[in-house]
Amino acid sequence: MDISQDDRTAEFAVLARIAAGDRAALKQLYFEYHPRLLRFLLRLTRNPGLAEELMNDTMVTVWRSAASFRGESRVSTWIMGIAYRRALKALAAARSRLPSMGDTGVGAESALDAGALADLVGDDAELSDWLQAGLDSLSPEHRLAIELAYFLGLSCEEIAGVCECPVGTIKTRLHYARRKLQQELLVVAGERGARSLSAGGDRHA
Amino acid sequence: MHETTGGSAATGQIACAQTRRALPWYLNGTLAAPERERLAQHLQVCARCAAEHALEQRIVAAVQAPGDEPAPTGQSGWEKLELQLDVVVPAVRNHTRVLAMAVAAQGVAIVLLTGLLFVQHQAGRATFRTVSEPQAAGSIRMVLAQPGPDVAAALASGAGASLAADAVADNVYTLDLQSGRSLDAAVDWLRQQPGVLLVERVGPARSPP
Repeated sequence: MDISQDDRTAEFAVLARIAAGDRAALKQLYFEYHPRLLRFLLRLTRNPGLAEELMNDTMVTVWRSAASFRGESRVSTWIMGIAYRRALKALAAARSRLPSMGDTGVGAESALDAGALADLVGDDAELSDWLQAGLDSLSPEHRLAIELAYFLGLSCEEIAGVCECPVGTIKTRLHYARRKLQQELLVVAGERGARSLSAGGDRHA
Repeated sequence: MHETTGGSAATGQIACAQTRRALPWYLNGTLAAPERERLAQHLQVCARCAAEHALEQRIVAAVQAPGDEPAPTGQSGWEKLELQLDVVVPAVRNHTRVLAMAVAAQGVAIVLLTGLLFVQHQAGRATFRTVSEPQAAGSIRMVLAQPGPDVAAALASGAGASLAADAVADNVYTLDLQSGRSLDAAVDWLRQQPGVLLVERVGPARSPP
């Protein structure tokens, strides 16, 4: 995610034009960020309409607040920070509608063996199903830490900038989130095993 | 359980813990080169960490896999955004408005202060009079050490003059000489009286040459 000084200068120049009320500059920025940012929001919400709404809310904030950008971070970090806060709200709202998604915490690290867990998961489609269930079980902060690192490929320092929190907090969040995902795998695998046994029992009955 | 090929068990456990914490950054390519190298070496000798790496690698791939839902196109999103922009005022314009209001407020303040100065100036002109203020011919201006209209009236009488109705200041008086009296004699007499600081002849204003 290295960025050259020229790119940084170009980013600032576009933002300065937006701050001056130049819609063409905002359009340029919008289409530059649209593919990645929208996919990111779509992953989180799984609702194209809501993802687009969040994307546009982010851009409206950029349009309204460009003049207040002090250049203390990269423009992309600032924009992702705006999107992050909107996504956080959306995820929190979705979670509040589903009371069963409470955070149950993680167990002892030694209880999990990645090799054994990998064996439990079959093909990629199965992994994807389990992963979605696992991600849904995470708190919005932990979910976003995973998405920012794995989907957007941001560095730990960049995520800390986006979330406006210390680097250590991000490392801890990600560590916790990964443990939680692995525990979820155990749960899903266990349920499937039980269903499989039950189906087998039914067949033999 | 922990299958390292060298070093003590404790050292191996520390290396495993560090590896597991650094795995996300190793996988997304943002880990610094020296740490990356160290981690890669550890993965070659630790079966448990290698298994975790393999699982995590599949998770990253699953997260990055395109979803089923079709994403809205950029064009439709932009068109909706443009409609929103029509009702949104960028902060810079708010700043301009605030700046304009500040300039207007400063303008009003300048006008008020100028008006206040003018009023004070006029008031000053209305109350301030000079000792050498022009007067009718044959008049005397007398300055006493202390204000005292009665003393001034007595002095005027002694000099063969009458005290003009309006004093120039609290202790500055104008005396109008009675007809037939000598102006020089009156002035000389007044200058010799105690409590008199200054006595001078005054007359009408002279035209500039």
